[in-house]
This record gives sequence, structure tokens and C-alpha cells, in this order.
Amino acid sequence: MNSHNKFWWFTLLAVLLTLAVVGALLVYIWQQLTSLEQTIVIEILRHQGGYLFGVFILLIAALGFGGDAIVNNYIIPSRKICEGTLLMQSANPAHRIDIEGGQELKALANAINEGANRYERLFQHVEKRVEKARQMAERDKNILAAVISELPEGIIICNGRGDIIFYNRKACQLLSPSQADGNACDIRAFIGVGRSIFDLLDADRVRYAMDETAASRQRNQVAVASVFYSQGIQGHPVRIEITPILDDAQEINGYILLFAHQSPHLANEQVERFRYQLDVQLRNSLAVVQLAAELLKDYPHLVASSQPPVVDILYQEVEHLGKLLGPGDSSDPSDSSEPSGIAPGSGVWPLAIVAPAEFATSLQHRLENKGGPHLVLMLQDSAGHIRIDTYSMLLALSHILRHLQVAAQTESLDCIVCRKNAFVTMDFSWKGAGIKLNELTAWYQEQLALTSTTGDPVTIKDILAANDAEVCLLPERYHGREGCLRLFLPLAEPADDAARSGAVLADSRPVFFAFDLFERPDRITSLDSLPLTDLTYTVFDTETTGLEPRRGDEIISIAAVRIFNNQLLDDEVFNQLVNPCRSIPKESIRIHGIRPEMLVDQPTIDLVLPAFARFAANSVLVAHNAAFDLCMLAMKEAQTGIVFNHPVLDTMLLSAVVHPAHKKHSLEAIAARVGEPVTGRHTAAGDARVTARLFLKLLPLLARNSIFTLEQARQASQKVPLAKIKF
Amino acid sequence: MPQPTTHTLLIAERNPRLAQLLTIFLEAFDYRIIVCDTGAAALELLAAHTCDMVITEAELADMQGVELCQLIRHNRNFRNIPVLFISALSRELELARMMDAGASACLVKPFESSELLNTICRLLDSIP
Repeated sequence: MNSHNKFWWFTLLAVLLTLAVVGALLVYIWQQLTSLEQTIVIEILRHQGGYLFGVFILLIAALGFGGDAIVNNYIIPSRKICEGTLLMQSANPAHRIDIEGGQELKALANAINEGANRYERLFQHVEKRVEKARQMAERDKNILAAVISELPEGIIICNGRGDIIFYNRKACQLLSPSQADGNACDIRAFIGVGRSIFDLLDADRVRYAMDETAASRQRNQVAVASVFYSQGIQGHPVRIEITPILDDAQEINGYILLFAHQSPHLANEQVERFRYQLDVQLRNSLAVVQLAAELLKDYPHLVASSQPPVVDILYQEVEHLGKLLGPGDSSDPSDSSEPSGIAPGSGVWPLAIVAPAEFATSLQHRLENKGGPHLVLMLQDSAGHIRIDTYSMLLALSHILRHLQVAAQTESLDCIVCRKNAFVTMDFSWKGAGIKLNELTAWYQEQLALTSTTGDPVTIKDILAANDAEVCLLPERYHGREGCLRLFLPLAEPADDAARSGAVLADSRPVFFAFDLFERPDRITSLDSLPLTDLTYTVFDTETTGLEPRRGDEIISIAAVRIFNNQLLDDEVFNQLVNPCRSIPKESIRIHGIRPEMLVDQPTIDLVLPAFARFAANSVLVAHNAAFDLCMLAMKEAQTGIVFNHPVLDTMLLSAVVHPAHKKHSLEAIAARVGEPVTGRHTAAGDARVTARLFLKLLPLLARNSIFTLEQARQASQKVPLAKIKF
Repeated sequence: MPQPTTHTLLIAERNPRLAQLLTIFLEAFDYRIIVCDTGAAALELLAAHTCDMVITEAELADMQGVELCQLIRHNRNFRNIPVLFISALSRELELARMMDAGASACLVKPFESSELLNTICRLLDSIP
């Protein structure tokens, strides 16, 4: 109930009470009168009653006019003075109180305005000094940002929970769709401050790499970085190197991820593989050539009678060899169509040099943590190193051993790690049922939840081939066991390249945007109880063909910006025109300026909304007059299958919460009150940006009204009369 | 030159030209030759004929030579047949893998005809 209504209820109550008291007094006096006196009074009322009633009505009217004057001159102005003072103290120091009312209140407003002038001068003085200091810091920050931004490598920094706190342009180019140039419908996740690295990359792979760096640190290794490959934005393999960031206590509290297109390391590996494939092809052909040559030289009688003639066979082989080597560009390994030791489509994983014992221990831990047989390690001679992609090999071996656990009905496996001439063997033996070779062969063909650098799904067989590894089932009983699987891994020289040695220490970290997120507490499941300043917001707006979503009006443009850590993220914009597949009324074109020809080549809503849903993931939706925009989105739920069940805040309702004495809560009215310029109105992107800036101005005003959490803001919004508007 | 006797040799080889030359060469020494180019065909032929030896390359059209060798070694009826690899894969690991799978001998391509003949004779002689 607003203060105006409160006053009139109070006045009515007071009048009724007065009438009741006067009535009771009259009844009491009436009863004290003698019958003669009562007769005289009745006689007077009969003759003078009209006058008395007139006086009573005049009295009531005077009370009404007096009350109205009090409301307009004192009650409402005092409320406006209160709101204006709060505005000046929080959102808009340039605001001044301008009221029509009683002289006393005008004097009070003038006094407050005078105080505000002095406060503003002081505020501006302090602001200037802060701005000067900020500009100096900003200059340093911009130099650093420019350097990082232009680096040929992509960089993402995340905290220990995987929340992205910094990224550069190159990382965006390598991994994320462009968010502002019409490519927003790419199926990939968006890069953004506050978003999770686990949504952007293969979560299991990233977690494994993080665990690997942690394990390297525990072993006090100099090189702690972990490297793996992922598929980039255009299907190109991207090399990802993860390095931990340490805090003062030397504990890992974040990670630096460096991204680069396929590195020379990978190129060298591919060249080496191609060279070996060529070697195999040449040996096959040479075998024919040599045998033919020997037959021609040493067994002329055979050659003379052979059918087909040996010379013809030799000629065919030479022809085949010619096709194999040329005439085109044969330098591309991917052109090799002949079967080889590398499984087609397996791609290439980065092979790292690791100690066999470390790999066996990692396998043991993985089986324990992910469910699998218990591994009893026996390291007979584990000297030397092996060269494998530990993650893919762990996945493949875990898969095989879990199958083995079931097929052989055993809970425990002995694992003997032993170095032989040019390789390391890992023998997995067990007591229990034996397994058949065709079972093992069937397991090889199973696909894993892993993609190669080319994005193709891979089988266990692909992984073994890509790691130059082999698994075989030993034919005989082995050391009294029922069966034994032997894994062959190639020996390698220890790494001699300069590995990234360590971690960035806390005192060397640059002062940079959102690095305070390192210190954020762990996520709370329910957003309702979180402070409004700690939430991530997607502020959005739609442009439509009209104002009646239930009568066929469609979205033709949708735009959104993100607010994270109480800041509007300028670089994170979703802005997409939408083909409505219907005509656009001229009246609406006059408002938003979007003509039908601009939408012909644009995606339809069923493509745009899924992308928008990914952009808005894990955030609170904010809009001005959100009921309308949400109704537009809700009308598309059945068509797109996308349900926006995010928490929602409406700047129009929040304005009514903090400025109940004001009747206007349009974007322009709010902007005028909080001193925020309005630009780019009636474009979805412009309105979303203005709404976001106004929302940030409303947050401190909500706090002044003791509204701190999302739940409090939602409850307060529901109580204002504007909340009852439906579309 | 060793004096071969009449034995049946099963050759699993993808390259038809090498298979032809091996057939011409080994038939001249009175071996009976059966040729195929896949592991599955090799197993069928083994079941259908009495073979004294299998000569296989390392990579067949449908499976690795190692897998074929393992399948032979795990089959009660064929497990004692000598398996000779003629392999274009030359890495030590791959050769060790073949031997571990139950290969009787490995020849790396290209090989001399006399070396092939000697190895075949030696393996056939070793059959109990």
C-alpha cells in the first residue's frame, strides 16, 4: 500500500472513530434528559435539523480538502524527498530534489539539495583522484592486456573450480563461436568470464590433465604442465597445455591453459608416422621386386614357364609403386589410402614421456576410483620411459580390464611391469575363468567416449594403434594363472625438450580483471540465497513483429549481454537477427527499423533459441518488462524444446520497488532518475545494454531497501502492482 | 639348397603380385600352395584343408597377422601348425609382438628367396 492510500485510510478511520465517540456521547446525554427536555430537543431538531446537517457536511468537506492538501503538500513530497536523498547518496549524486509542496518541506528540500551540492563537489573531487589512479592502473593493465591479447597462443585462466577468469581473443578464435557477428548459432559452448572450462572442453579430459599436473607437483617434478589435444572451432586440432597456479601456501588454486594450433611436436609425430607408413609400403613392393629379380636371375626355367609371366608381375608392381609415390603431392600423410599401422580416423594424440611405474600407478588409481578390478602392481624392472598419451591409454586399458573383470569373474589382477629390449610389457594375469581371443577382439572394436583430434569417435583398437601399443592374450597358462594379457609399450628416450617448469607463483601474478575470483567461496546450489552482487546475469531484449505473442507475433531479433562479478562484460554479447517466416507490420518496422529483406538469410527461431539458451546457461535472466519477452520465449517452447526456467528479474518491477512514489518506470524514466544516458533504443542489443546498465544502478538502491538476495528481490518484485500485468 | 618334400602351405597375403610370385616360386619346389588375402578366409581354408604351414603377412585386409596367429594358436586343431610371418612391419616392438603371439618365425620384407625357403624347411622339419 503506498503512502497516499495509507493516509486516506487513516483519515477515514479517524472520522469514523470521532463519529462513534460523538454518537455515544449524544446517546448518553439523551438518556440523562427528562422527557420534557427530550421533547424540547426533538422540537429544536425538527425546526433546525437542516441547518445542523448542512454544518456537518461542510465540516466533512473541510476535513477532506484539508486532508488532500496534507497529502499533496506534505505526505507525498516527504516520500519523494526520502527517495531523492537515497538516489543522491547511491546511484545518482547529480540528482536534485524538486518538489511541489508545503513551504517547510520546500525549505527542507532546498537544504538537502545544498548539502547534496557540497557532497557532489566532494564526490567529484574524490572521483577525479580515483579516476586518475584508475587510469594509471588501466594503462598498465591495457599494455598487459594488449600483449596477452595479441599473443599467437590462446590463453584461458581459470580458478581451481574451473571458472574462467580471463581469456584472450586468440582463445576465442580457436575455441568459441563468434558471439557478435552472426555466428552465434554454432553448437559450441561460449567462452566467457565466469563460465566453466568444463563446459567448453571435454570435462573428463581437462580434469585428468589437472590431476596429472597435481600428481607431477606431488612428485616434485620440474615439468608440471600437462598437454593434450582437442578439436578447435573449424575442426583443426588445438594443442592445450595446462599449468597450475600456486597460492602463497604453494597449493594449486587455479590453472593457466595455453591453446595453439597443431604444434611442431604433433607435426613431427605425423611426419614420423607417415615415414613409417611409407617404409611399410616400400618394403611390400620391394619384396615383390626382389623375389621377381631373383626368379629372373636364378630360376630362368621357372620364369620361362610361369603363368602369368614374372616380368608382367614385376611391371605391375613397379606401376603400383609409381602410383604410391607420385605424381601429386604425396607429402600429406592423410592422402595415404593404403592400410597401415595407424588406424584410419584415429587422429594423433600428443605422446608424452612417462615412467612405466607412474603409468601403472595411474591405472591402478583410475580402476579404484572409477570401478574396476583391484590391481596388484609388481614392478620387476621398470627403468626407462615409455612414450604414450596417458589419458587415452588409461581409458582404453580401464575399459579392457573392466570387461576382463566380468568375463574372467575376477576381482583382482596381478600386473607385472617389466622392461624388455625395446619395449616395456605390462602383464595382467588372473586366477579365475579364462577368456577367449574373440572376446578380446570384440572389446577392441568398442567405441569410447573420446574423440580424436579430427573429431571422430575412436575405438580401443584406434587408441592402441595411435600409441604404438599392442595387447595380446598369452596362449599358455602363465605362472599358474588362468590367463594373461600382455601389453606392449614402446620404450622412449627421456624428454629433453624444455618443459614448462612450473607454476606461476602468487607474487608474480598480474593485477587483472576478475582475478579476485580466485578467492570466491564454493558454489551454492540454490541461487535464491546468494547476494545479488554475486550472481551472473544475462540481460536480454527481443524485437518482435508486434505486441501480441499469443496472436502470432514473432521474435525478429534477440540480443543479450552478461553481467558477472557486478560488471557488464562488454565483449560477451549475443546478438542475432531471426527470420520470423512471416510478414512484418509497417508500424513495427518504424519502431525497430528491421526490414524483411534483412531477415531473409537469417536463421529461424528453432536454431537461435538453443544458442541463446547456451549463452544464458547458469545465469539469472534480466529484462525490462520481462513478462513480455518471457511470453515470446514461452510461445516457442513446444517448437524448439527449449525451456527457459531460469530465475528472472525485471528492471521495471525493481524500479517500482525502489521508487514507489514514482509512477513512471519506463527505461527512459529510470535512466533519468539514476542519471544514466540512453543510447541505441529500440534495437535488441541497445535495449539489452541500457537495461543492464540500469540494473547495475538499481542494485545499490535495492540494498538500501534491505533487499540483498535473489529471493528477496523476487519477492519484492511480486508485490508491486505492475507485477500483475499479463501478456 | 635344402630338398623340400610335398607339403601344403597356406599363404595369406594382400598383395596379389607377391602371392603370385610366391606361388610360382614355392610350387617349383613341390609345395602345394593355397592363397587367400584375409584372415577370415585363412581360417576357413585351414578348416577345409590339411595345411602344414601358414605364411602370413603382418597386415591383412580384415585383421592383423598377429590376430590371425592368435586365433590359430587358440584353436585346438591348428595350434601346432607353424606360422611364418613375412612382415613389412620392421620395428622391434612389432616383431616381438608377432613372436609373442605365437609366430614360429618372422621374415622382414624384402627377403631373399633362399632365406624364405630355408626357413620354411626348418619349420617343417621341426614339426613333431
